[in-house]
Amino acid sequence: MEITKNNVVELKNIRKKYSGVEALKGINVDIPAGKITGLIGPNGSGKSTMLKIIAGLTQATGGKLEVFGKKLDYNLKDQIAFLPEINHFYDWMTIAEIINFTNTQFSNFDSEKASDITDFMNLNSEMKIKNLSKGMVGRVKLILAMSRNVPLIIMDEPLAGIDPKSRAQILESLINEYNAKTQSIILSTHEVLEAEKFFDYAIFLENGKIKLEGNADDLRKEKNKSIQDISKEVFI
Amino acid sequence: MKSFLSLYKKEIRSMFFFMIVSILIVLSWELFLFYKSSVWPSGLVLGLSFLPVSFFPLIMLWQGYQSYRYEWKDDTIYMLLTLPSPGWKISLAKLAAGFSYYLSVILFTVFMIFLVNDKTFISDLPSYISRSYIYKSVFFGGLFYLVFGMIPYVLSQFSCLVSRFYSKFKGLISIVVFILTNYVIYRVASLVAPIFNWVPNIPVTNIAVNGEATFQTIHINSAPIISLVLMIIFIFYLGSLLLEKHLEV
Repeated sequence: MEITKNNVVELKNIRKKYSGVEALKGINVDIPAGKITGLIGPNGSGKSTMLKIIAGLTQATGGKLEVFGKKLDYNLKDQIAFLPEINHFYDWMTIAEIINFTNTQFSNFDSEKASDITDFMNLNSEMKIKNLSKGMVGRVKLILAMSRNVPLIIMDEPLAGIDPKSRAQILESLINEYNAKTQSIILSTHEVLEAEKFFDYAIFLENGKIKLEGNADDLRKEKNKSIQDISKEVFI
Repeated sequence: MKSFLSLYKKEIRSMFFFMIVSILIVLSWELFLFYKSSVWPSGLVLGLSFLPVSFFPLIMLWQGYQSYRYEWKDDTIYMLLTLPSPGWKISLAKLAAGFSYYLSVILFTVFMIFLVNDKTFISDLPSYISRSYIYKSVFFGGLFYLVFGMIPYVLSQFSCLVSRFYSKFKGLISIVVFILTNYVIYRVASLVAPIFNWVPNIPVTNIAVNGEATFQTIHINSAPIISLVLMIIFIFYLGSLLLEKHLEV
């Protein structure tokens, strides 16, 4: 699917309340197509909630969401690869079974690519999820997301719990597999320092509100700082 | 179809251990009765051999509730809600797996009941009760039991889904929703039933022993059965819509 629209996701006045607590307070943002967008913010800033709303896992309390210019429904989920922060796999499944299950559910899953990435990540596909470490589970999530030929990949803290050496390896493979002509990535992370070189666009979120957003290079030039330093300045 | 089969296989795999345990419990019970059949009165053995059957609807109620509860408990609901499948397909895969479980334990139990009682109670039956009559009665009785055993499954599954809208007292809310839904569907089904009066009634052959044995054909009104089944389909679909459009992780 070639990206034809300027924005892959459009959020207009998106609000979300959890048991009286407002997690998102009117988010207005357009996420550009064909770019890697970094979603940066401290814990509890609303990053995961925002990503879950875009992926269709959580319903906004108010506002309007458009993905590829359309209202999100189950059909559109075939075009979105979502990688949550938590382990969402059936722990009795092996890696091979999860890959096979995903293959049967999505029209755009590439089994050969999944097999190649599994080898690259040094994972034994016969291992059961319950026997994997947090870092290994993180790699399995990445295999599933990267093996799909989808126009939108959403990653919620993909580097959490993974050792520094593997983080670099994962980021490298992520960028190798990414195709800017056909894909957009939204990535939330605490590891701003390691990931910021890949960001084309940055959104700074705090207390459910957008504090700053813009083209990553423009922000760096304007402030004469790295994204990491800008985030320190924004979240003081 | 491929995606449905894959979902179905996943559900079967999830309940496989439970299925094996259920079959082993039934097997142990029936073997115990088989051992006692030469000592105990044949009527008592027959009655006791049906005991597991009375637990199955309760197990289905529990299975229906668990079918979605564990998805939220284990965070696997993240996986289900990212699938490009309508809610009804996901729920139908669970229902089909629940039905498969129910069917297999019923078939196994009926087989064991025959095995335990064949040489005693069934052999001692009067000659006018033929083998074919017994098989036919068991078949239709089993079919009726099978269809109506799925009702608690669908209703408890729906109750579990509704309870997911609340952050506290989910178990209590499920019980309240289950009771209310039961009341509403039976009330509405009885109100809607006259619409289906045109559907032919179900003929059932019955043996009446009044001095001598005679075969009678009685007719069961099919209208309330049809309206009840339609209500259950409606509740199933409503639960699926909640899953697809309103529920969240």
